[in-house]
Amino acid sequence: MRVTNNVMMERAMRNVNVAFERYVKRQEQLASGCSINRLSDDPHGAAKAVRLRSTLKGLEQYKTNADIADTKLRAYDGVLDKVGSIMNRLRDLVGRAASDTVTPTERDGIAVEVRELFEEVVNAGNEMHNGEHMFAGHKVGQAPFKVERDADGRVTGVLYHGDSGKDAIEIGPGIVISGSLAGDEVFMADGANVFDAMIDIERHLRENDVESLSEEDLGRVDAVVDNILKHRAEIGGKGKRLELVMDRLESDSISIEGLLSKTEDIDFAEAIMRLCEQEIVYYAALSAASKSVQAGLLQFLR
Amino acid sequence: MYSTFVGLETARRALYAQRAAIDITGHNVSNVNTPGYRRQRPVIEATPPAPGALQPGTGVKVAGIERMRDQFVDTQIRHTLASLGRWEARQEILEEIQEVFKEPSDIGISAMMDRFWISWQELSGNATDPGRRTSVQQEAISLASAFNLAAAQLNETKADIDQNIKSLVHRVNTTASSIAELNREIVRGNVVGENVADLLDRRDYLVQQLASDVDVAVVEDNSGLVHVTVGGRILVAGTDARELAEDALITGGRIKGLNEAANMIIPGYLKELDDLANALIEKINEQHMAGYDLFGNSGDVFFEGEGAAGIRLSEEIEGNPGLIAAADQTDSPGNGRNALAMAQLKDGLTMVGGTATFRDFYGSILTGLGLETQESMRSREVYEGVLEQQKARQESVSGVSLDEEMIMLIKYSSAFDAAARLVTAVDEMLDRLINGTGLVGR
Repeated sequence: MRVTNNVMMERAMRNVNVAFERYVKRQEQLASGCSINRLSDDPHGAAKAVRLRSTLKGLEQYKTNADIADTKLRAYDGVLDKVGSIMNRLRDLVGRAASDTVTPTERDGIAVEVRELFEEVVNAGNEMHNGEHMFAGHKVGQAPFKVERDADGRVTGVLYHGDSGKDAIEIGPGIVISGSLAGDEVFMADGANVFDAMIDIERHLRENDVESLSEEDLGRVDAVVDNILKHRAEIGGKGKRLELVMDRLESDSISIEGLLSKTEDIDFAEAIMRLCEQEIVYYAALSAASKSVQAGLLQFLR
Repeated sequence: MYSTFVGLETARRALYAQRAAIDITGHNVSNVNTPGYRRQRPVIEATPPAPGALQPGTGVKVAGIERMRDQFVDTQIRHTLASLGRWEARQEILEEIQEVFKEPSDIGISAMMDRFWISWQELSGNATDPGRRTSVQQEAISLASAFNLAAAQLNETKADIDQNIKSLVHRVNTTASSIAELNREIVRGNVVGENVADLLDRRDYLVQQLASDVDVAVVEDNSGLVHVTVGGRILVAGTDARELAEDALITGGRIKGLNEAANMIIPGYLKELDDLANALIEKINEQHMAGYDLFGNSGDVFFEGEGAAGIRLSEEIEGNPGLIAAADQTDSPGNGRNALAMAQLKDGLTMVGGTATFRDFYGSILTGLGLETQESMRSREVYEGVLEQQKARQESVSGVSLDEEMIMLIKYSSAFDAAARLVTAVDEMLDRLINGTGLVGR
């Protein structure tokens, strides 16, 4: 075929352009660290990266949620631990007061201590965490336990102003756990109402009702302790589960990060090699162009 | 016998013919970089001898100027230009649309959706926290504006294209009148016997320019006129130019590509964005209205408006984040169960008849867009390659080769030198005859 100067020049120009375009593309990839800089670079990969990134964000949030649940449960456990100690003390006091060797005056003294313990239990029930009343169910804005007193200032009972609502925290796709306990279930369970028990014990102490103290009250304190232990066991179980879930979330996010990186990150060693390769191609195209554009009969004519 | 002076006449003709050939070579060399220029070649013929026996020839003449052209390749190039123009336009617009979607990145709609869902999740853990309520409110505003912005940019692009098409149509009409004008000049030149080669080049070049804007059918008649039709409608009929018909069935060229972009591609993506926005509005509102706000009232609409261009956070919630319905029962401010249900919509099969999540749907838009862009890039590359080959073929016939022209220059200038020598030879001969004879016996 007859080839003219223009064909040669246009080819040289096109080759230089194409080589330069590829060179710039490699440079862009290296500079951004991403092999996908726009959708058309890899449509399926780009959509996959968008999906993985969103999954990753979801996992991060699940981890945060699990942390929140864990912190909350620890706070509940702390309160229940305190109530447990109070109950142990109460049990000691009731045990001592039930003995015949204790004088009525001493029983009055014990009654004073029981009243103090009672206040502590009420305070524990109205404990706040993050500005919310922990045992109020969903009605977190107000103290859940209100002490009713008669005209003499004697405690007649405790009313629950919360509801039995429990929060729901998502710690995995569709996995929801509750990070809260309802106050009525902990403090006012059937047969294990800590307030009623303490009010009765205080009265029995004042009235020197040794029989009730030894026959009923010890049993009622034990029932309360059992109930609290039951809830603490539940918290412990949830804590274990959270630990497992957090481990799994961690390993999931590591593997998804790996996938994401494989999808959209470049292999630096390879990218640098490709860049050098493309640089050589570009220089070769330039040098070929400079040679072919010069050549011509004109150079050889005098 | 023939005249003694015939030799001089022969030499004169030779000098004239070689000089004309040198001038044509010069014309070629001058126009080596002129777009649309086609190499010209002198048609050199021997002039016939005078009648009679044993008459020698009478020399040479330039019978015409030949314009080197392959009409078939010209037609092929026009078709390729039309396809190339169409795919180039599509690629440009699709790349613009990619910029509108800004994916993959941390500022696209997908990132905004992720953040929106996460804000609900956070709210579900602590429904009374005013900070978290404000965060849901702000993320909802960001998400809605991401949709609004994308829709606005798509509409803007469409408006730009419409403007672009108008100016292209104007260009086509101007070119058409130039072609008609050239037709007139060429016919006139042919009639009076002028050299119209350069006018023909110019006309071919204009027709080729038309072809990249709009696919044209070109017919050349015996009188040298070209007639141009577009989609079955006449654009140039001889010396008469018309406007590009509104109802012309354009099937190629840049105008076709832009038309497709403005009337199919962009509306298509707008519709998909609208579908996504409408599904979001519907599902979010449905769930929001099932919940209760901080004040124990049941939730109202969360998103107002319609479509990607219209979606926005309800004005009431924008004014008071306490109205976000995070609870699933009344009078329980700390209850975040409805917020959780909102957050779980993220993984709900809410789209395409309950087979895809919002994210899946959006992902499929992105894949579609990426593939469509890739297709247009590849098609453009293919046609560029084809065009390059066809242009090389055209060049091989019509292109000026400087090497070749230099050789021609040497060839014709040697012939010119030789013809000059011939004049000297005849002159010497005549000198001898006139001045050196008839002196016998003097």
